[in-house]
Amino acid sequence: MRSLLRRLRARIRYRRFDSDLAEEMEFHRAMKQRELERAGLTENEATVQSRREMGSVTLARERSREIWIAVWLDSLQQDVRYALRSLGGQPGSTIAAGTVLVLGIGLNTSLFTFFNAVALRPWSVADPGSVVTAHYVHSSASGRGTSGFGIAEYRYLNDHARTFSGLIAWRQSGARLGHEEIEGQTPFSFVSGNYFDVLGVHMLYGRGFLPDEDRVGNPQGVAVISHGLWERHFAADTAIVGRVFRVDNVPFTIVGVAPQMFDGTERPNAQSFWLPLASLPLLSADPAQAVSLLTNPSHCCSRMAGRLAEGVTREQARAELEVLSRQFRTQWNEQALKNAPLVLSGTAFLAQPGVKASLIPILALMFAAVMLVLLLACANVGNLLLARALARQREFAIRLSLGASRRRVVRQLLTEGLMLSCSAGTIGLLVAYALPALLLRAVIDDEVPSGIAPDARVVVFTLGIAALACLLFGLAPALKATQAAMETLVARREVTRTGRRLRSALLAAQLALSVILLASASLLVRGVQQAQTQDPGFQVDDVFVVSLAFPGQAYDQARGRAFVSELHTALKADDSFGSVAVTNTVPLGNTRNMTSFRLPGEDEKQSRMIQMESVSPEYFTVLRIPVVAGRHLDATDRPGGAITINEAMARRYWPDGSPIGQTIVFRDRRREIVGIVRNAHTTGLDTVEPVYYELTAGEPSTRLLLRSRTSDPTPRVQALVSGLDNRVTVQARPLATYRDRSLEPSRVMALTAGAVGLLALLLASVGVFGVFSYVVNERTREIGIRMAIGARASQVIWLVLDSTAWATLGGLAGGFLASFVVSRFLTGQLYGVSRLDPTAYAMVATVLTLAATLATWLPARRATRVDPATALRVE
Amino acid sequence: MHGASGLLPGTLEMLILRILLRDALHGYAIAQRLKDISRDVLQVGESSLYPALQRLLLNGYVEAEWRPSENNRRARYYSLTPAGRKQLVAEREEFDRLVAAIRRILQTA
Repeated sequence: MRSLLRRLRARIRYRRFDSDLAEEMEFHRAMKQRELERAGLTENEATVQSRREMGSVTLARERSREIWIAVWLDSLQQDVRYALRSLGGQPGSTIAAGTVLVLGIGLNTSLFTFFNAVALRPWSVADPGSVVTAHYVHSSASGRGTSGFGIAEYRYLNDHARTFSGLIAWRQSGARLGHEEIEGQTPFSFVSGNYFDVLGVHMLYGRGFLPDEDRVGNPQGVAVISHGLWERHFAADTAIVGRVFRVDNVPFTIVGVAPQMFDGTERPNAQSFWLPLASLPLLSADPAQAVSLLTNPSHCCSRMAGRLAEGVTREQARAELEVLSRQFRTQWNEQALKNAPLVLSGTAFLAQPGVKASLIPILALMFAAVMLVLLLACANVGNLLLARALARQREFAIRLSLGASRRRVVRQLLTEGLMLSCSAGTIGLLVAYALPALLLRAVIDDEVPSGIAPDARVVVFTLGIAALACLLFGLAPALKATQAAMETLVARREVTRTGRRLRSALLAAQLALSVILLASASLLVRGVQQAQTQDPGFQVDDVFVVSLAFPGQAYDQARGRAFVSELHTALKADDSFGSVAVTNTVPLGNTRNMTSFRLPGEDEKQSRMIQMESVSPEYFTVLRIPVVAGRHLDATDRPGGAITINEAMARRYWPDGSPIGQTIVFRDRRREIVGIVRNAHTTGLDTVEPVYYELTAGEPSTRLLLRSRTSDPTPRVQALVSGLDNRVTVQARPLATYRDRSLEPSRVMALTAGAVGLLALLLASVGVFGVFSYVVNERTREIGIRMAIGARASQVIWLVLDSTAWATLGGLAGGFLASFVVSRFLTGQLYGVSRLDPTAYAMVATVLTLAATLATWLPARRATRVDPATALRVE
Repeated sequence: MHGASGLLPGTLEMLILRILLRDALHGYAIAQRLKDISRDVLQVGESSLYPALQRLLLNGYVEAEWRPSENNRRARYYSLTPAGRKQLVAEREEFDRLVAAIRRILQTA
């Protein structure tokens, strides 16, 4: 303790130790000189001799300084100052390297930010660690699947479970809000009455739901809205509580506004508002069915989560739930989920069963792509730094000869690299603040998940990436350059042709990486192209989708049905239109009607899911879907009677015989198959799923398809609708817009991949340019001599190219080989384009050739302009 | 370790303390004194001497002061502090013990 004080005092007293030391050593030398002069040397001789005898003053000062200041701290400061000076001294290449790194690091950080926010973060609720989600897991031929719980089952479990302080249930749904156009679907959830209480979500305004508001049979029109909806739709009105808004034209009273961070329990899909489960019948076209959904023990598929009671482990809770659910099913003799095991998992999206398996490959692919860009950036910056470090050999040689250790010089160079990558990382973080939310907003029309912003985890990730990048691009050049400098010391001349192998390796790596990225991008682009131009199996041109919105309570089911039927007749009678059909789903319209059926003779357990389309007979005429066997549905059929199936269904279930005349059982009724229609991509452009078509019973389907003879049928349709009831709103849109929208995700993906690929190309081109310029620089003298003795320009160019030919060829070959492997992971997005698609690879080859020509041409041209006389004077 | 003097680590500091026990000296004089007393056996280089002095300063065993020197140039004189005196005693004991131990080994082993 006393010695510490002593040291502290000394530190303060001798804080000017550096200049003191310098002066004192000069005094020392002067004394020595005087002594030498006394011994008979001349003044000049004595000065020189005394200097020599003093040895390395710098070394003494350096060592003294080490004593005074914790060494590393001092040298760190020194390194940083020096690095700043050296980076600032060449602003051009610093900015180039920085920009390249910002791109590399920014992309990685952005993707991680997104991944972190969407997949890793638990729900924004109180103490998320004690909240678990529950799932039934069942394995079938098609893989592992999970399913949820019936609402009746949930109520039973919630009443009896002791290991939970509360269980909640919810169903995701979508509805049109008053302000939206007819196709709008705002995502929301029906939730159990205790939802907000169990999750511990405190309202920004108003309150959550009361137990009374979720009583089956007594639906209340109350809603809690999200912060996002409140801002977007209600202009952040602070007096919002008590206001009424319309959901699918049904009025709901707003009782609360959720806090900004809470976006529901459907991550990554943000919810716009929440309604009590008991209000399901209010929004259902068939209230009786909705009530049955709430009470019938055989219904399933609501999601369930719960907060574990204090001191209860997941395993205990799971065991109890399993026992209770078995009791429940025995009580109701319910066989649906036989002995499906139950699992509990955390609330992060990635923790949900089944998600990991499906999400990881996509994410891995995306991370691989951005990592490749980072590698590319590192290779590029590495090359740049190498060139710069080699140019500074003389400086390093001097520093080494003055007694600096090699480690010190390497560290100095790494500090420069670290400063570069840290600054790039900081800007990269800023990019990550803006980019993911911006991109999401561009892709998603509705609610963007909250909290897509870097958190501590992202900062740590970025730091890691920056450090990694620094080592990647900094270490090799630093080692190389100092080694060269040491050779310089020995050889007493500058080593000029070093670092060549390293540079070639970097060049090859860059080329290979950019080939991989470009090839993947062009395959994806080809996939989208293919999807856009392929025959969807039905005619899109001239077909319009007519959507209707009825004035809420004024229209019950029967009224709606009658209106559609009247409109159908009116449209058919009008000359402006060809055929007109009624349908419950729009082709490529993003909704599917799933139902289950079984074959005669099979029991209930063998039921399988299938897509069903309820349509009027004209559907096939409007879309020009031909029949391949049997007949189409026609006016002689009745709803609930005969059905037709598509080829995919026929092939799957009757691979050998003809299905015509066969029956399937649907809701305990036998339906006869009277025809097979050609496969049509009505539900997605990738593969055609089995579908069966039945005649619509005229349930309040609010969509009609019509073939128009004019380019814009809206005014005419509008007039007809107003003629029937002017309170009904209507909209007519070309079917092509639906097709385009369904391609949107693929297009965004191709666009992103294309952007990443082009970025990679740009980086690689800059890299190639840099390498060639360097080669020309390095060999200026040689080129000059060759030109002087009569070499032709072409020979000189060849000389330059030759030095990197192997690296170039190797890089390209490696890149192409690797992209064959990588493309295996893309097949899902290619819409049938072969992953060896020649057009895609030709595109890559062309683009690369163009870029490479440009990148080499400029330096090569400079090489041919080398003036022999100047070149010889270079050294 | 430091320098070519071939001294055991820490010994140089002890010798400097011992030399300063008599009177305050500047660096050059310390080096001269070391050389003279050891009859040219110990030729301490400046790159060892000054770091050693800094270490002593930092530990508070010596003080430094700028004064005019014998030839009227400004020189930095080092003098012993009470802590330095104590340290010298302790180091001498330690050194004697060490030398005795080494001698024992050389004689008997």
